[in-house]
Amino acid sequence: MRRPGTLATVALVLLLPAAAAAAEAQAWRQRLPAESAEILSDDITEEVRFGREVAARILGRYGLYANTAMTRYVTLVGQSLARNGNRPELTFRFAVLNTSEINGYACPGGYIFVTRGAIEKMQDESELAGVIAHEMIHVNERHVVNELNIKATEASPVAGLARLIGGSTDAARAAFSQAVDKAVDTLFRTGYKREDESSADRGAVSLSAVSGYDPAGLVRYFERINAAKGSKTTEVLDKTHPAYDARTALLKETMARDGIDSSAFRTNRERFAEAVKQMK
Amino acid sequence: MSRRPVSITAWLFVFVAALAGAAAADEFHYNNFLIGDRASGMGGAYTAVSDDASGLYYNPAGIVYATGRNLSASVNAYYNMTKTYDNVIGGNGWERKATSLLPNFFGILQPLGQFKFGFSYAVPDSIKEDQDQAFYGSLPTSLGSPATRYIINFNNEDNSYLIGPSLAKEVNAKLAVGMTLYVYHRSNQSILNQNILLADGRYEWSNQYIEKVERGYKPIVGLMWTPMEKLSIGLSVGRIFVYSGSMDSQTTVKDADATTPDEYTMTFESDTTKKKYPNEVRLGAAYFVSNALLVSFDTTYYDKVSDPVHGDRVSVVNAAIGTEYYWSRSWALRGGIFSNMANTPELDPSRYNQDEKVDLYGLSLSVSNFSRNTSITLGGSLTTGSGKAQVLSGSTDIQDVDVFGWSLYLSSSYSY
Repeated sequence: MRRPGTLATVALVLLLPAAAAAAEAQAWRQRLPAESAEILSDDITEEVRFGREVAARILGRYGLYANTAMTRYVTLVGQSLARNGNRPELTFRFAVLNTSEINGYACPGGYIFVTRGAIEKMQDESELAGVIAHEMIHVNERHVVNELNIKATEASPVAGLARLIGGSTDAARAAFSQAVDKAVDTLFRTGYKREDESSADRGAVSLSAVSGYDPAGLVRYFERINAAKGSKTTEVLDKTHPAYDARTALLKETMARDGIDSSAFRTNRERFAEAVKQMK
Repeated sequence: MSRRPVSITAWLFVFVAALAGAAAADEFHYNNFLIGDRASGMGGAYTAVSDDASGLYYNPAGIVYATGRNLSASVNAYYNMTKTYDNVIGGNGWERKATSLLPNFFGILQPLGQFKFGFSYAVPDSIKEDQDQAFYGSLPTSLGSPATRYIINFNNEDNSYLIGPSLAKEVNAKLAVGMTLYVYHRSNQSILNQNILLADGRYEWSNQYIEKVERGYKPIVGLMWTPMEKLSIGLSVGRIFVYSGSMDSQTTVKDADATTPDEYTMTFESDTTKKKYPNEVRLGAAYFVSNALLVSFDTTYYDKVSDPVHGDRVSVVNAAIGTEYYWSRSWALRGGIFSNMANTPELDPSRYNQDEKVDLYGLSLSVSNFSRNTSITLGGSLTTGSGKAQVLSGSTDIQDVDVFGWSLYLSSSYSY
């Protein structure tokens, strides 16, 4: 008697050559309701709640760098950028992570972290602003939120009835927890999508510039940590981010395209040096 | 006591045949229940769509294209079917009604690295059948006297369950493969009581209890191919393999001539022969006309089964056509037509004890309301068909059979 496996193998052999002929996205499979991208106020609340959970995981891993003056300084730089961002509904919070690893992290809802090791590699305030701006763009453009489809659970009668019929109320909680795991995995292991990183780099140039910071600060910072590539301190950074050559090229291209003259913006080198002294 | 070989057994076997016929309401067809939320509304024409939890059942490769990170769906359905047999006993017809109310599908999907993982529970077949009838008059028997009253009380429950995990992967932008491995369980209990009062004052009574249990597994391998934009071709192959089966029956008969309990006969029978099921090959095509309109077609082939113990089955081809239309972001309408052909051969007037053959055709319709994360669907189907049966054991008489069934279901799906 014929076995299903045999039939399936025959089918695969018949269809595979044709299937391999080309490749293209299948967005046309998406039905009308799935295309709705409306963002409600409850979604923002959920984004912040989600980001808080992710932030707690990051703090659990590295710990907070307990230097009030440094935290205040980073917050001031961050707030000056946030004022020029496009997410006025969020309250951005900034902190320094107590690790020699070189990196910055963005959590949905506006939780931004820069590591002590990253700050130690910086030479002026525009570099710090560039890193913070890059992370803020991840938040502003909802990269994690969109990728993981984070949105509020509905409270409508129809949704309640649907959950009742489905007999599952804990599933949403389990899914939330899984999404937090996935976000942490993105930050520490797999990284954002390449297009999201590129978008964050391009956005950082603009945000730094409109906030008065030298956008080339991020270029200088990238070039400097590129020299440290492969060390223990850049282990996470190396595996979660694109190559620095490509990133610096993109930054320079963006600045050239937008006609940004680096010399017209401030670096606040002295103020940065004064702040960093407090880390010693 | 010696039992007359024809008299009581002639009656008894009529209704033993009735028992078999009850189970046959399921066993003689392969497409008794439409499974899934959208799929049910589309008449089961879903092999080339399968992009939600229902795909775990129809074509696991399709779940690769499910939108939403986590998605679950459940269906709760009520079924009702009436079968009418013409001219069975002394010109009287039989009417058997079957109902079932149960959650017949639950499925959940979520990404797992490069794979899509799913888990589902499906009830592809379920029946709860009752017959409570009394016949009066001068009914012919072979007991030496006509019957003045014949009473039958009959209950039959037959449920099949599938539960198990699925895994699917996108091979490239045009091809996805997937597999579901269901654990299969079937349980069937039938109870038949019949009482015959003869014109000469004697009576016969019989009770029969049959219990059947089958355990097995059903692997389903599927692929989804996109030869061109908006066109999807789905193929899945599956089969139930039974690894243990048992049938136990207990029959108690009080013969018309028996006068004391000692003269009653009790018979116990057991059988562990495993039932054979056919290979099931689903091939479907779907055309996604726009983001609001979808048309799909399915054909399902079941090959011939040679099983002398549980009954030979002929090959069957079922077909379904379905469509889905979203007239707004909040509302969708689905419709479908489908067939449920009998897997039994045409009845031969020169033979007896043959299985009935009734080809069924159906119509399905559903309407869904969508909100941001959820959808809720109300749907139903109608099934009808006519055919032939031979319910009197040992008789070459053939009866006309008419079947009419309907179902209603309420389902929900939501993503997180």
